[in-house]
Amino acid sequence: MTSAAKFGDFERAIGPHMRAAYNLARWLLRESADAEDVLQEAFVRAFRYFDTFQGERARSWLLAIVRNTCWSFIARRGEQEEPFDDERDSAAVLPLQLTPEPEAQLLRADQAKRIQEEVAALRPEFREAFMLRELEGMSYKEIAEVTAVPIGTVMSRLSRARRELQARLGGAARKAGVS
Amino acid sequence: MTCAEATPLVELELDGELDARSVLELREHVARCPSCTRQAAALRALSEAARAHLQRFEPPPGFEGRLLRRLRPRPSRRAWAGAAVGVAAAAAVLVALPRRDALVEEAVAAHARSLQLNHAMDVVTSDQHTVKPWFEGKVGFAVPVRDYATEGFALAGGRLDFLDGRPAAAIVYRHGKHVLNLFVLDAEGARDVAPGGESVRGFRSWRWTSGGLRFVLVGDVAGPEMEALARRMAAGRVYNSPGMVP
Repeated sequence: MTSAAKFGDFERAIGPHMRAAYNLARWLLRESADAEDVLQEAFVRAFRYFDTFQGERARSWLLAIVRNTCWSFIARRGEQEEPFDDERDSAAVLPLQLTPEPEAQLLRADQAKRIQEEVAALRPEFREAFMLRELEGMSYKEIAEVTAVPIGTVMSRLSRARRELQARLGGAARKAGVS
Repeated sequence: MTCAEATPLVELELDGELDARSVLELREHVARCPSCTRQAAALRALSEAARAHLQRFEPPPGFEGRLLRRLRPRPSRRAWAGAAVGVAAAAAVLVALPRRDALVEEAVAAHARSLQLNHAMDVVTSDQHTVKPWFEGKVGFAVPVRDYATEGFALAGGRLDFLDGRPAAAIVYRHGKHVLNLFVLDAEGARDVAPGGESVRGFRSWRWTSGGLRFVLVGDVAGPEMEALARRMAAGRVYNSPGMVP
């Protein structure tokens, strides 16, 4: 394939998902200048590896590269938190072990508006799963592809993200349901 | 269905991941269970709040175009030169000259990016016999890789980069704490050009053309040392054809 043909295919496959890529980078990196640098790097990589792209699920394929580049950047920036261990850290809140919570309640309007800051404060593993689900409308399978974890892990991360958000947004009205 | 069985399914249904049969069973349970009804409503409210209030970050104007422009290949110069054999060399020079500064600009930007992202290398090794074959099949020409450790510039590795809309080899050297990038691009048909140096945004840059390859060396090492290295590199003869690289 000539480089011009390759570029044409790349632009057609990837172009429609560039805004989603930018949104994901901003959610993961927070700073717009960082997001632009990292996306530049991510797109060079995507173009380089485009030969391995199978023509399906262009969005997951691109977002996986963007996400990996973001995480490498975060790690190099030296601000990584203690690595998250899904087995250990989710054990207490796996959906199957939850008992129904009678105090679960609807969000009030003023609480709902605080959701941006509370999602931003989630652990990155939870934050990316939650925003990919709610903002990008991705299926568990797609989120699993982007974040390179099994579907079961996606489910437990989403579940835990929601419980943390409910706890934080519910404020004092709720018992602390999340450690 | 018990509450313990229903609880995990509530989220699956909310996310559209539950099969039709289980959806019916779940709804049957939820309909007669106030606790699960509340839980389902609370989760739905959270999801709706997220969709209504979470920010979707929009790229700045022109952002997508800028990203793609960097990757877009330029029209082939080689076809041009081949079409007019007699003026091939002249054509290459004519086309190459106005682009020279832009290429140095791009090289300096690529150098800065490699430092900033701390992603200087795809292949990390001080062995030139490892770096050279690593580039095979990636850039479309044989990359001459030499170690200058005895001169104080130790080969550290290599990286694939994009300059002038094409793949370029970036050979990485270390000099104390300094990192230098030597970018190598295909310039088949271009006449040799002796090294010329300049300062660009705080970096030193030296460029030359030799044996159908264009070289741009970028770093922040002191001027005289950079110049000595550039001249040393340029003095080593290279040939732009597979199998003939010494």
